[in-house]
Amino acid sequence: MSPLAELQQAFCDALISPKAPSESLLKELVDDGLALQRFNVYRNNFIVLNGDALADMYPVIKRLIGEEAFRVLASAYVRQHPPQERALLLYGDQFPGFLESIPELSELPYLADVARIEYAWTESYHTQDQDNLSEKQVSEIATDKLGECQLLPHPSLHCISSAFPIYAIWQTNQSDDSTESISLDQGESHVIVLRPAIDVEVREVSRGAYHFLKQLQSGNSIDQAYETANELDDTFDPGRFLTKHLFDGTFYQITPSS
Amino acid sequence: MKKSTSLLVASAITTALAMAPMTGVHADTEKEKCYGVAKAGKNDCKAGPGTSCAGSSTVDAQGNAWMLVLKGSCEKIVGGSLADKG
Amino acid sequence: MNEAITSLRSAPARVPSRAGAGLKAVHYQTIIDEQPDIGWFEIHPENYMGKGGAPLRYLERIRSDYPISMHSVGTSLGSHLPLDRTHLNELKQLVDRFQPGLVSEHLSWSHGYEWYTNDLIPLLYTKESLNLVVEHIEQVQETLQRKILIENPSSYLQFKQSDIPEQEFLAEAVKRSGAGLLLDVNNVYVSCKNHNWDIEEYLSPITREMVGEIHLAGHAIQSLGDQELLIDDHGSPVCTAVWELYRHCIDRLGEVPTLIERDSNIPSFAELQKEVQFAEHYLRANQEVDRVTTR
Repeated sequence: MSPLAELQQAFCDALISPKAPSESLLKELVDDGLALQRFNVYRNNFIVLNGDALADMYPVIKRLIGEEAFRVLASAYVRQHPPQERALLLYGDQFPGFLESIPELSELPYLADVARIEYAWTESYHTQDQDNLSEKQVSEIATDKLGECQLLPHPSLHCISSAFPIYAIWQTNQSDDSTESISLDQGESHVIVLRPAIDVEVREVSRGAYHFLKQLQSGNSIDQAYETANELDDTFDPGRFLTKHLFDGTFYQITPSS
Repeated sequence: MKKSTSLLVASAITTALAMAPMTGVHADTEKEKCYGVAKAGKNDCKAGPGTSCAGSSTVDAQGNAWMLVLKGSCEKIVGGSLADKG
Repeated sequence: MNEAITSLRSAPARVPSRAGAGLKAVHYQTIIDEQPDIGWFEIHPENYMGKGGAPLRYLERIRSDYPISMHSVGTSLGSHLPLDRTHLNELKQLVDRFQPGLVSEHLSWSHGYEWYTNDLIPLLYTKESLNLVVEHIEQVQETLQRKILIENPSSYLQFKQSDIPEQEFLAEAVKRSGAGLLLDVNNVYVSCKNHNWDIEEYLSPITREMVGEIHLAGHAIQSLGDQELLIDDHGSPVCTAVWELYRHCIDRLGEVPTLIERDSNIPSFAELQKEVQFAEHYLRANQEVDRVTTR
């Protein structure tokens, strides 16, 4: 390995390690008695600036566990999952799973699913722009062929379901000053996140609507999607759902089956 | 596919189509001067906190030996499986 | 919607010899509503590498009113690893779409392994590094089909193995690759103080022909025992010493487009604009002198 490659890797090893930098790296630095503090500027940059990016993506998680605990977790996350891309727009994609792996957080079993809403929000925010489904597109298809069609949800759509009332938790923690308390006895929650036009929307939906959208998202026909949704939630009413959402930006395309 | 399903789905869609002009459900794409929430960019070229910060020091020499003190709005979330988990 | 945005008037691409400001998301709406008299704005292209959504819409709108400059933080010119093709192609797409008047990157590195530090780490200043940096600058310029500017870094440490002074390394890299120099005056000040370098000596190989842009920013001062370390946090107004150094630089270098950078403790746009006007005042005073002396 070239001296440059060796030095850069030793430097990165020391940046990512929580331990003091190795003697062999310190020997490479010009020393005026402050070499260690000088190195620490870079380690602090690495941990804190990437932690800031994470805090920016997960404001609700930060409110839920408090600034101090968030910082501790963020530092550990940055060390375990350093940025893989140069643009930090989506840095933090592994954070929900990381939260699940922390034993001390097992008493907050809803945390990872709330984090999934927050990640979906940012991903949706940066998704490509896409025109919504038009009435013209739908009216061009023969009525008896409609059920066989694929009805494609907007590319920014994310579906998240949880055994816990994550929508209420997310919604209540949108600002610092909420005093509302939430009971986990409210049970499961189904959430969709999408950006139909300008702003990202987070909506709580019924179990049936959730499965209907998930089925459509995976490319199944409208008929198949309805049957699955109906099996899992016999209160699902496709007429009501589609009247409200067919043209509101939840969908962008309808295509006859091939 | 059951015939009843196809009929139900087709009728749901044709209803939605017929209702569309009246429901005003179209996504609002024509707002002038509205570009959406302006989130701050995450890449820049500033330095962080310099020498004075916790970036290195919350962790002891053994590594990862941190303490997690949960002090946030999670205190207001009650009931459910929390009791079971004890 | 997109049609309405792109049909607006489009500002020229060229960045004028005026002062500009770093474009911050909190200022988007003020800039669109008030159309302030600012020469140009600078962005970090990495913040616009999403596939769609609000950031690109705002940029599209602001670009139609102002020239912009793209100041990349992600190419990692000094890394021993190859440049990231995906990132370069994304940069190329943004350059093609938004037609910036200037494109720049730092003399630094940010990955030693496949992961990325998101920080600008100083180089080992040796012949090996110089060859590598020149090669990487050439690759970027080839991809973008244009000249780029390379910025002198602010740094907190030096490597013993370095055997070329930073300013000579920089001047040589720029000459050999055909790139230009982005002279960050605050970085000159910060690095010279941090390493006890002589400022005049640092500036000596830097010529008028090299410099295509100047940066100004504030820094923090931290005491370590009886010594001080300057931290380039872009978190306060430009300090008096850096303004003086700036004046000295433009006396030597002439009218160079000058950017006020602010990345933390971001003030209101009006306050930021005052600093921009201050820089512009120096630039104009310099233009007056230039006119008198060339007559």
